[in-house]
Amino acid sequence: MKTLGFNEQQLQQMKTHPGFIAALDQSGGSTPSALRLYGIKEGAWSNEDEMFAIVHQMRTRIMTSPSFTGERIIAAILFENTMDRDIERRPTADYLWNVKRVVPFLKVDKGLAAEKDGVQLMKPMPELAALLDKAKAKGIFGTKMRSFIKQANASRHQGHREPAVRSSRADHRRRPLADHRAGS
Amino acid sequence: MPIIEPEVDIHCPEKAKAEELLKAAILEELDELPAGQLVMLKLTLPEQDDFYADCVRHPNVLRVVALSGGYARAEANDRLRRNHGIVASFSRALVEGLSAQQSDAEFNAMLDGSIQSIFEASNT
Repeated sequence: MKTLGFNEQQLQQMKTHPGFIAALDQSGGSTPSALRLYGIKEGAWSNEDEMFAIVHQMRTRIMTSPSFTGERIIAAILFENTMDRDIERRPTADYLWNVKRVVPFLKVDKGLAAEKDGVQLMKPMPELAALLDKAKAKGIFGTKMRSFIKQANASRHQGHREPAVRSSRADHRRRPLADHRAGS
Repeated sequence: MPIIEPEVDIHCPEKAKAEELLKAAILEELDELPAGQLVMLKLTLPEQDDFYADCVRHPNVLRVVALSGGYARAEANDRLRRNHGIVASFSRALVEGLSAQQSDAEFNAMLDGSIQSIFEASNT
């Protein structure tokens, strides 16, 4: 049960190790602004593939930097495209844990739906099961999903409670990746 | 291990009130989780210091982390320092000041300083 050992080590690190999480998971919509802040103007790429290649160069520069290690950074959150690429000829999650001792997480939501009742819920995630299978095979320890609250509007809370919490709990029951006790 | 991130907009006109509603809803859901079922929460830095202390010590919560949400690094770190038991999960505040035009030495030095400041602010 080699992987179980990995999971246990990663769980311990998440629970007790001092440090913080590097969120490197800006995806399609927010990538141009992330690149602009990094000094790369829109127009430096002619299609989405090139844009993602550039953003991966930026993230590779961050993750391979000597300071970027598990000593101060306990985990990093990736988006799918980063998980699917390599760093120094290793899949990103493998590189993060086995070289840097940084626990890899994956952003699994598909972005935000339109605002309603002062909140933007998550868009549907019809391919979540397949994504979790892939993530698990690649050594991803956990997931992240975001919704966005813009107004103090109680109307939905009373009937539906917090939507992200609810959907995550449903995922838990269905998917072992979201449940550390399942191990493997 | 899921990280659930119900971000409250830092520009929300009644941010403290939104946080009250959110905390009540989160605690209600957490209390329904079976024993041993762990989650992580990623939350906006609250208006009231230590506002999410109940989440930090909840038995079903592995760790609570904070997003920077558009606060610049200095302010995000200040707010984080005042929220004990919560560590950073910063995106924008982590890469602030990094640029493609920097030499590797400049880039690495800037990132190292950024990591150290966020690390220190997380250890309270």
